[in-house]
Amino acid sequence: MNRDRRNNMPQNMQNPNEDYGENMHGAGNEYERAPSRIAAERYENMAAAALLEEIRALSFVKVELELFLDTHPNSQKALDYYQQTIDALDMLYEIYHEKYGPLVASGVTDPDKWTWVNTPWPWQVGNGAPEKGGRG
Amino acid sequence: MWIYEKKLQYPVKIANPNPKLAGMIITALGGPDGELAAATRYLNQRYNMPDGRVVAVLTDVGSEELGHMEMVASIVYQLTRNLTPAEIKAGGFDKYYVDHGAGIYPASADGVPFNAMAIASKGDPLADIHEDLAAEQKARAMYDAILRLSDDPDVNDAIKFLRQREVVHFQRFGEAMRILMGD
Repeated sequence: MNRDRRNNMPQNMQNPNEDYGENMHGAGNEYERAPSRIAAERYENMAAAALLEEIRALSFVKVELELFLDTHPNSQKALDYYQQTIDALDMLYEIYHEKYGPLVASGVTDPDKWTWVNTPWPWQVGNGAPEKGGRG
Repeated sequence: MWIYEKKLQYPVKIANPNPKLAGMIITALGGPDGELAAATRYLNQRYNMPDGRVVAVLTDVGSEELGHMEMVASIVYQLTRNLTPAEIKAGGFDKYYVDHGAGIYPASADGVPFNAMAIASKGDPLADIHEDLAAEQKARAMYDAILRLSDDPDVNDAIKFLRQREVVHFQRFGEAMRILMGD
């Protein structure tokens, strides 16, 4: 599907499975939010929860593209999407790690403190914010 | 090798504890069609696959299933917060509680601990990939059953995501099967 055309279509007319074979299941709409054409400053002012949500959405695109490429390793369209997706993700991780702490152990940026142990764990309610009083 | 990421693949934010639902959903972790079985099945079947594309599908789907284990465990954890003994008894969670407290233990809804008899690894590529296609359908049917029985929108939101992933994995395994058959 032509992406410029898709951008002009109403949301409810977009069928993510259209043109299946070269397109990825459901990845199209998420991908549109992604890449490098969006300036970094938009993300630098985001609250932790919103930025994490952006990372989660893009990570989902990444997983979908990886699975698709496993069985379609010669799809140039998918390879291009993948490169743009991981470029955008790298940028978002860097901003998140700097401002809000590590999402991977190697994302610890504080040279004097191992913040991996006191940033929130993902099963805690509230998108990572520790529950008041902890586990009851 | 695996690298842990401190985030869920899809958010789990459950407002209301519900021990009855927790006792059902634990099967999506440790039951015969649960995520532990899925991850164990795919990651152990990889070694004898003759085509790199099929190894890649098993590796990447199997890795995603590890993330689904974490999502299901998060659902059960959040559903069992701050329970009183009366709530545990009323919700039929007493048998689980007496053995495991509010800990996460991989078992079926019926209380049977995770059993590797629920999976196969035959060293035969076609036999294994057919097992995988069936496994995704069985898991999808399990999630359908949970969605029929659960009326908690927070739980159903995450379960619907997991159900949809079974459909996508089935699609990729179908392509892997055709690769093995020489298409």
